[in-house]
Amino acid sequence: MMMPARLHPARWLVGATVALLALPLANAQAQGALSAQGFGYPNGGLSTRALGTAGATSEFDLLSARNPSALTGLGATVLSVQGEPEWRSLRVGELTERSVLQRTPLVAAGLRLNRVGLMISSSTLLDRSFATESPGSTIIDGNVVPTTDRLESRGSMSELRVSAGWQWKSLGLGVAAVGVTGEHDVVRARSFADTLAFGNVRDSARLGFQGLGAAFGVNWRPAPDLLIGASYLIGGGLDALRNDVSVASASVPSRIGLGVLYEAGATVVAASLEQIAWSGMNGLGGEAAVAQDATNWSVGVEFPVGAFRRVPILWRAGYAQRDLPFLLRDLPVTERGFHGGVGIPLAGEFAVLDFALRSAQRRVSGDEAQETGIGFSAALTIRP
Amino acid sequence: MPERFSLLRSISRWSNTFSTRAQSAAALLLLTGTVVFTSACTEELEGGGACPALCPQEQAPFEDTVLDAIALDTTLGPYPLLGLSPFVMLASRGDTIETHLVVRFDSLRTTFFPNDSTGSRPITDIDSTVLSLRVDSLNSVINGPFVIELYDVDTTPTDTSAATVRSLFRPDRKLSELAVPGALTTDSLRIPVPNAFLAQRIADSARVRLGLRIVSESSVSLRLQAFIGGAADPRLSFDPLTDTLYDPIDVVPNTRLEGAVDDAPLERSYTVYALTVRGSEPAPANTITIGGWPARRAWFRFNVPARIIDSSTVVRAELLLTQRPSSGTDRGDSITVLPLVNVTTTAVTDLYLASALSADGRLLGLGTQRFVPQDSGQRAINIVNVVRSWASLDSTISRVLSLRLADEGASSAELLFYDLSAPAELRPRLRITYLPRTEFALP
Repeated sequence: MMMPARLHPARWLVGATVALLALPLANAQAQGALSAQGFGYPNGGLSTRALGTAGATSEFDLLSARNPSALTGLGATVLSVQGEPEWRSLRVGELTERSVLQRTPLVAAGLRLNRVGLMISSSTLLDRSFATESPGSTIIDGNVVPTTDRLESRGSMSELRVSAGWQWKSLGLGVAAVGVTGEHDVVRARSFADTLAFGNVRDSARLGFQGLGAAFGVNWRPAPDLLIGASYLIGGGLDALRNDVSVASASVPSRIGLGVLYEAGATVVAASLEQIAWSGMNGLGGEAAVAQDATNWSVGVEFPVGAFRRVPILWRAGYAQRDLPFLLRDLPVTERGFHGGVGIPLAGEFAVLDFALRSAQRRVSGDEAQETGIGFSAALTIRP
Repeated sequence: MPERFSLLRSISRWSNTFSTRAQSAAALLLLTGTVVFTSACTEELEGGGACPALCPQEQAPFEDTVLDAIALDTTLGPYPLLGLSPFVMLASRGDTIETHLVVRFDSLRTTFFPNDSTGSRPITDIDSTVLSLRVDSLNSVINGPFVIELYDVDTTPTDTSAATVRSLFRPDRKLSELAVPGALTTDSLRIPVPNAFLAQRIADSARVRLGLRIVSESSVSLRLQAFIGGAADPRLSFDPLTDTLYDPIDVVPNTRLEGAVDDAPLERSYTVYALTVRGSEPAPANTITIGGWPARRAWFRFNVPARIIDSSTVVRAELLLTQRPSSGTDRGDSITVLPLVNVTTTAVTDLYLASALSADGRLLGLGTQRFVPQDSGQRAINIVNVVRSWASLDSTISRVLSLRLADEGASSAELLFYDLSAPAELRPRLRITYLPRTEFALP
């Protein structure tokens, strides 16, 4: 293997990783957006690499929080962290509202012990960080009193995974223990223009979440160039906690996924289909958090064009369509997006910088509201 | 499946022709640019323009209610405690209010330093003796010419007895007078004091206690400065010699009370004080009073349901009082009422003392309000900040509010309100608007 001169990974990759890890961990999105209903937006647990193919290769991607059997391909220790800002534009009639969101949706570290690949990862299950401020009014003593209403939430539900994958005969097998955790810090404020007569409202609350699940995965190579993968996540109990006391209970959404990948030389073509039982979360929130089951699919391709430091640069493209989990006043919200990406080997096998760009269109059937999200994802994966 | 990184290893034909150093620099630049770009995106979370259409979490409505939340009301007085009011009232309001003023100089200077000597010399020849008083002419009531009479009110026995001191305002005790033709043109009064009177007191190492009263055909009320920063303000000034080259000697009011050893606050109380000759008429039945002479305070103890105080956010709280017209002095003028917040624990059972120790409501953001004594009808006093503070108040501190005149001790105007014994529609009540604490963190 060629090592680039004067570019030893131990010197600066660790520093760069620390810098990426220092990205804001809080996810943020503006409620009042199509993608931010209920408990928030599902990031999908995709690595930047899989995101470049719209998630089509996710059943075979060891960094994505999908199929633990992908860990059978783990060659050595790996560490990955990604940052993911999104520029969102919401259009409702004449109104256009823009926001910028910052995410760190996935951090993962893995190693190989004998024939078993192990991975611990944290990925965002649902973002719920937003701040809305809107003019309102209330009737006090028979008079209409103008107010400014603000609702602010910071936090997310995260999925922690401890996964293992190994090879058994022609099958790759995987299992993962899944824990769902997270916090929402919510502030409800209401202020009056007449500050002499009225005191303002500023209530705050912190909610915690804890849940459990287990994931299983398998992949099978029926032909030298063909891979088939499947995974299943069994959702256990999911509790919303206040001061460590459960205030609402539901289930971690179960998920079943299926993927197929065809290798044509160095080019990979993949497709993925999944169904997530988000409705298992019903009961955790109120009427504003009614979830529907989602059926998502995606197709994508990865191919090498050019090289950097004698290692090929991988280009990716894909298309995905999925249902967002939470209804907007009984109406389902759908998302479809075109994805693209590139993986640049900065230091041979020791460091790869992946980029992904996606353009997502979110709609509500029968409603004129339309949302566009331009997401940029960057991940540094190192193998120290 | 094989790790995709193996793909990179297997394909070596994509080697490029750039130098290793250039590639290293490019890699570093790329990585740095990525980190900077990704982390430099400043979050802009603010949204809400599409609300309420896309904001399914609606704001909970406010509750608005009027409560019979006053557990006890009463009128306390007299206030202020002697020595605690920066101003004092000297008044002659016809057949209503009449007050006198007493200023004590119990310790007099007996020596001075002449210009032609290095040592001190006893004061024997006195000239130009005056009692100087500062007047708040803006807040004084002067409806005609008046005379201020000065009396010697020194007496040996029971010198704290108001009746005894009042009896000393008689002709044989009169020292001098100052005639004022009408409206004051200056902010001070200089009342002549007989030089011989003071010289004799100095010679005898005796004390001087002066009494003042107003004699007028008209209604007159002077608001005089009594204390500034805890120090008495009036001055007894005289020249220690008839020679005009000397600066006058100023004597600051002071007193000593028998039995009050090292009790400066008590001694200060009798340094400069008003003496009531004729006070306000007693308030009618079913009434609580603010002001009057001597001044009184309205005192309210609240009993608000815990579901409102502890489990809601109060956004408006108004003490509703029904005013009844006053026939007292200055009834057509607007006067300012200042709320006071209780700071004593339940260990203080003397309500008068508890009110005296109360904190200025402005410290809690309570505003003052102006009322006209002769008016009637429902009045609302905004007390939202103090009601909101009750949620965090120690349980040993009563939820109490007092109301007093801002000019307490220097004004005789009074406000009358119906109390809890009045018919239900006239009683004091509490109007509260609050937001019940509901679940809002869960969507």
